[in-house]
Amino acid sequence: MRPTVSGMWKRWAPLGIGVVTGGIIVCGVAIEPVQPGRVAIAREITGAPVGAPAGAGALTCSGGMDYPATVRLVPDAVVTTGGRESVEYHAEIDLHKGGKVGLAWEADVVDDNGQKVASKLAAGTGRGKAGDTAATGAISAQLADGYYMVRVRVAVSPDDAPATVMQAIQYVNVSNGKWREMDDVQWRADSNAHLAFRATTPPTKRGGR
Amino acid sequence: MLRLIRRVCIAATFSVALGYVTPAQAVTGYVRGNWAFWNQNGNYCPSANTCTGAYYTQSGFDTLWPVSNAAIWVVDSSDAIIGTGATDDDGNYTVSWSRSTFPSQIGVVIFPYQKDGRFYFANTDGQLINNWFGLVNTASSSSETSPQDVGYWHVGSSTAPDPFYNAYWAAEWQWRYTMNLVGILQTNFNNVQIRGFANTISGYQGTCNTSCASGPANQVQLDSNAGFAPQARVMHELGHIASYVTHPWALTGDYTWSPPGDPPGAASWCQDCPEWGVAAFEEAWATHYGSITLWADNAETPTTCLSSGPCYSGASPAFHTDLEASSYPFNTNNCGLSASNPEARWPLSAMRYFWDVFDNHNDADGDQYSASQSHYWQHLANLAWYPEGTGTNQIDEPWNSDYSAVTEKDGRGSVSYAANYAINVTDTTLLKTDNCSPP
Repeated sequence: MRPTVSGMWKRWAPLGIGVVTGGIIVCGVAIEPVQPGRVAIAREITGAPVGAPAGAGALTCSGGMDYPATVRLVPDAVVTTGGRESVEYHAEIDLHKGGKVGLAWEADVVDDNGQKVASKLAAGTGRGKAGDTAATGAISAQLADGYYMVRVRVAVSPDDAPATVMQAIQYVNVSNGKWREMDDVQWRADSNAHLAFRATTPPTKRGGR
Repeated sequence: MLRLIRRVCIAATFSVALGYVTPAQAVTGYVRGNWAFWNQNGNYCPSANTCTGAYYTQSGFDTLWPVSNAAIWVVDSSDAIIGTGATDDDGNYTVSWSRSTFPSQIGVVIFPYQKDGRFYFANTDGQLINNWFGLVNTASSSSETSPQDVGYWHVGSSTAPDPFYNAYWAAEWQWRYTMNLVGILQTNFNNVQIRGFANTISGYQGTCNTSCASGPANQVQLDSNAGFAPQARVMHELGHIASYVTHPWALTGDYTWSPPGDPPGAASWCQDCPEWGVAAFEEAWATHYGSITLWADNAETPTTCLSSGPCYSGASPAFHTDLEASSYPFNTNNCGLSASNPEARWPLSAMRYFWDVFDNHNDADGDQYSASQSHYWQHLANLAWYPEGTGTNQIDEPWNSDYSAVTEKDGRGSVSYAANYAINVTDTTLLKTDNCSPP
C-alpha cells in the first residue's frame, strides 16, 4: 500500500525537483518555480531504465519479447485548490527499439463505472529513436470524490516492428478532497471495478472460432 | 454491494468452491444468464487483408465476446456459496442452487477461472479475480426447465476493457482449440496460476518486465501491458508451461548468443535476433501453440508479433512477423547469412519451421506434409518422446553429463525436434531446410 499524499509526497516535497515538458527530451533535472497551492514532488531522474532480466533462476522463459517502449506516469506536484487535492502527473516514454519511432499519446481519467470524466489531457505526438525519452505535458484533473484511473495511452510505431498501444495507469481514490494513490488490488476490492454492466442482448460474437 | 467482493478475496485455490456440498433438507432453485466481456485483444487479422484461414479477425475487435467455460458461483445475501457451475462456449449458464432456507436474494459471480481447473487468473496478491452484478430478488420458484433468468451481463467496456478477461479469452481459446487436443496436456496441464498485471510481483516471480513463466512452479506472471497482446504474452507464456509439462527439462535460459570471439549478446530475445538453439527453440515452440490457435492450416499470411493491434502494416504482414515465409524455397537459399545476425538463429526461423510442419499449404517446394491433417497431437507431443539424458537429441542435451554446466547451447533445439519427430512420426528435413535450418 502506498502512502497517502499527506504522507510520503509532502515529506519529499521540499526538495522541489520535477520535470514537466513536452516532446522528445533528454532526461534531466529541473527546479520548478514555487506556485501557491502547488507542492512539487521530489524525484531523482536517472534516464531511461534498462529492462531488467528476470531474477528467478527457475524461469522457463526469461521474459517475452521486449516492448518497443516503456511508459510510466510520474507524479510532479500536489495541487490544492479550494481545499481539494489533486496530483499533477506527466508521462515519460522510453524508446527501446527502432531507428525511427512515431509516437502519439493522450491521457484521460476514467471512473470505476467505465465512464471517461476527463479526456484528451496532454495529447501530443513525437518522433524518436531507440534510447530517446519522450515526455508529455502536465496531466492534471480536479476530481470529485470517487475512484478513478488516471491513464495515459501511447501508440508506438517503430519503423521495423508492428505498432502497438502501451499504457500506464495510476489508480486513485479521492475522498473528502484527499487524493490517494491505490494499487490494483485495492482498486479492484474497493471500487466498482468488480461490478458488471447490464447488456440487453447476447454477446456479438459466439464462443467458437 | 462491496461486501461480497471484499470477502471474496479468495486465496488462489478453488477447493472451497469445488468442495461445495448441497445441504440436507434444502430449498433448491435454478438461475440462468450470460456472461460476456469487452474484447480489445490485439493480434487480429485486419480487414484490409483477405484473412484466409484467420480465426480472429478485426470484426471481433472492440466488441462483446462470451466469457467461455468459466467458473460461476451463486451466492446469497450473506456471501455464502449456494451453487457452483460454469458458462458454456457462448457464455451461457444454468446453475442450480441449494440452501437450507429460501434466499430472499441471490447473486452470480463470474471468475476468469477455466471450468476444469486448467488455469486461473489472480491479482498481484494471489486473490482470484471475480466480478458480479450485485444481488437480485430470488424468483419464488424456478426449475431446471424454467430457471430464473438474470439476463446478460458483461465485464469491462470499450472505454475500460478488463485485462484479466481479455487474457482469459486468449488462454481459453488456446486451451480449448489446441492444448485440449493433446492427451499428455490433458493429463499434465493443470492448475496453472496466472497473476497480473505488474512488472514486479514480490513473492511470486519477482521482476518480469516482459512477462515470464516458471514450469516447475506452474506459474505465469503477466506484465503491466500484457492484457491485450495475446500471442506474445499470455498464449506464449502458457506455451512455455505446456512445453515444460510435456516433458520437464533442466532449465537453461542463456539468451546471449554472439559470433564466436565476440562479447556475449543481449540477454533478451526478439523474433529476428540471433539466439542459441535451445533458446530459439523454446521461444518459438511456446509461440507455436498460439499461432495455430489463431490461424488455420490453410492460412496464407499467418503472423505472430507483440502488439495490442494487428501484426500488419496495411494489408501485408509487418516486418518479420510472417510465419509463412514462402520466399525461402529450399532450392533457392536466400536466408540471411550475416555473421552477427544469421537468420538460422532467429526464433522466427524456428517458428516458421513449426508452422510448415503444421500447415496444409504447399510452398511450391514439395511441401506436401501437414501435421494438422495427419499428426496433429503428435506434432505437439513430440517433446514427450525425447529420450531422457544429456546426449544428442535427448531432453537435457544442453547440459553436461553431471548437470554441472550448460555446455551445448544449441542442444534441445530445432535439430532435436526434427530428429525425434523423424523417429516417432515422419521426416521433416525439407521443412527445416526451407526455413534456414535453425539449429
